[in-house]
Amino acid sequence: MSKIKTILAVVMSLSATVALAADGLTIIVAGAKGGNLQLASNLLANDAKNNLLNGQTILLIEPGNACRGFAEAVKRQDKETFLMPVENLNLANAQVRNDALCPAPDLLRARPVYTEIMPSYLVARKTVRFADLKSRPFSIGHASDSVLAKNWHQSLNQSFQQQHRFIGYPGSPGLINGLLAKDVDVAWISLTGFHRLDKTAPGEFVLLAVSLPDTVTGVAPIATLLGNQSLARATINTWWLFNEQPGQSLELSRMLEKSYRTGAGEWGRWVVENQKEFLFDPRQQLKEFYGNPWSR
Amino acid sequence: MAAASGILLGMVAGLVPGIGMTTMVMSMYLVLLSFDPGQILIFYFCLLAASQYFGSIPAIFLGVAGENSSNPAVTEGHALARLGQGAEAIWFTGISSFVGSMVGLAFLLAASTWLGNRMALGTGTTLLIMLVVGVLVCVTTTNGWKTNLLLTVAAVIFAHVGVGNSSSIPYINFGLPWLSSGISYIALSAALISVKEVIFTASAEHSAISYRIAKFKTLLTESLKYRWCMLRGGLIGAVGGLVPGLTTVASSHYAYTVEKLISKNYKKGHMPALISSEGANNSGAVTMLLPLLMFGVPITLSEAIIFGILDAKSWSFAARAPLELFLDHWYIMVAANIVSLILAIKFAPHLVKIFPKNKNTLRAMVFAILLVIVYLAGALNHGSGIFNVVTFLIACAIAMVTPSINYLPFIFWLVIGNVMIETFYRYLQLLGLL
Repeated sequence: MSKIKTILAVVMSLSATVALAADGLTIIVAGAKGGNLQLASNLLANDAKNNLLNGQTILLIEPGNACRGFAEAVKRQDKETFLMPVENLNLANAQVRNDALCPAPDLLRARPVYTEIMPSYLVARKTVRFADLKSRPFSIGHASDSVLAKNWHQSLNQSFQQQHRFIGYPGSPGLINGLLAKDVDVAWISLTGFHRLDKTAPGEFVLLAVSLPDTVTGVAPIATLLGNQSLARATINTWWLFNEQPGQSLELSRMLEKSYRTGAGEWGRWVVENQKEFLFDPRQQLKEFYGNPWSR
Repeated sequence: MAAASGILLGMVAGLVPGIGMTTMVMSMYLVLLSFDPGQILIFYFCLLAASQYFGSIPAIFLGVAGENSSNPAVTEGHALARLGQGAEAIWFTGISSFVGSMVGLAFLLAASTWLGNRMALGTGTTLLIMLVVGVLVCVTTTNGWKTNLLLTVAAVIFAHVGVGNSSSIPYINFGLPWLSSGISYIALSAALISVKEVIFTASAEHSAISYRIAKFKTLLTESLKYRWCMLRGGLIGAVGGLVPGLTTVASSHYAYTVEKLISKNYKKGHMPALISSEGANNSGAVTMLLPLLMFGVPITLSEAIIFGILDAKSWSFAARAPLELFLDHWYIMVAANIVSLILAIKFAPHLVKIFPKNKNTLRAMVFAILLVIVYLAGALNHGSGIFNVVTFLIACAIAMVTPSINYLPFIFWLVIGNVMIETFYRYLQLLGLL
């Protein structure tokens, strides 16, 4: 019986590889122009062009933002096979909006390929202590101005027992500019954003808290600091393969994991150089994606 | 290779309306990923420089803005071309663009050496600069204040059309998919500025477009006559280039407005205003690199894409980055400007030759070119080519029945619309009003 299983697995794996190699894979970039998702998609396309993905060819569809990417996916999700990176917060916002201009794709038709968990860090000018946030109101910069993010900000304010003002900036570069120009003294920012800020203004800013439920390299969770576990959040990007041939998502996942471990190709080099941490186990990916309050 | 491809694509971006920096950078995305950071920056520098040199050619001879910062060149340059001074206009704008680029480079190096982190512009300052430039653009038109106010309000409303993720900005779309990408300023600018200039306001003094080059020595002497206005344009443009989201648009409009304000005998077809604005956009095209190189803060969409690639390649953004880049590649940067200048001046006579002598044929040709461009810009950027064409035709009808209105303020506010409303609502948040 186990031999039959092994043979079946090998046959499925081979057929998936053949299917991947025979047809070009479409990637719908459900993210902003110039953003990380577009960059990763283009690096993968470059690797495919250089024959580093088992002969796989990649066709990119780059509609320009998450809503347009989702609309493109909804058009194709009944029949076509395609790969699409989905950020949990964008998906949740589409589900809340529930309109034709920003529809939510049906992920029941898709299997996860790889996932990146991206926590936010509360960064402040070094003169600001965490206790100050409990004693007086601040303007706090952040990169997402969606309804769901606003709900989280309200919960944070309730726990801080302060009326902090949350100021929306277009992405990390805008936030860094806002901090440098002294628009705001505090901001929620990614770790790479903080490193960039620290390089520009060395020693002027410090990390106060992380949005994850656990301590990360000495940075305490905001949920613990404020004694409210429901405040833990993270942005999660999962790459979903829609309408796969049997075993196709696993095959693709293994192929990318190999590049991730070896740093091969442009995508692999980017992952290694930027110290990205990805999940490849399907169950763990589903647990993380659906386990986050921003994914529900 | 990086410099040559930058100049070549910059020529295309400058000559073809609706094809901007973002489209060009995106078209090179895969190639850029294989470049090293120095090559990427040289490519981008050459792309920006060349587009500014070539953007004035269609503006002056066809009355069509090759890129957004050339709208003043449409008004002044095309009027000069109709008066038979097209060749001089191209020559002087070329020289002014060169001066502007050098002023911009000097500014970049000075900032890199001395100013350090004091260069970040806050939300309030950015908004203030936008408002000052916008108001000055309004003030210098012959429109009444009521008309300018109406045009401004209309542009602000139009800027809210579309779909966005921000819950602080009240977007308007009525649930209509073809409104999801907003209303294209390319379609409106083509109709309300270009068509109006070339087709509806053709006047008695209109002469066939010609390209008669005066003697080199005469042109050189004449260039010296405009030295202060070139320098002024370069300096104003250097500051304008730092305005997030506006960069060269702010540079050219600001310099243009200042030149009109200080001129005692301004009338349409004003050479100093043209020279100053075209020099300013070149200067701005250099200084706009400052926040990107020094702080890793992109201030335009094309810069954001370049930033993403540089970041992926672990490029170090630092205060001394522009200085080091210049020290390593100064000869390429200067050569790119000289090559672009020579090509722009040499290229112009050939472009003029393909223009028909018959005025009606020329008008029909310009209209057809604009129609195709408007369609392609919509279809390629967000799949709404037909919607763009309909917008263009409606705007043409409006331009035809309102010959006395100058739509430059409307187009200016519309071009900066997305950045402006984002900045405006953020400022309200900072004030605690939202």
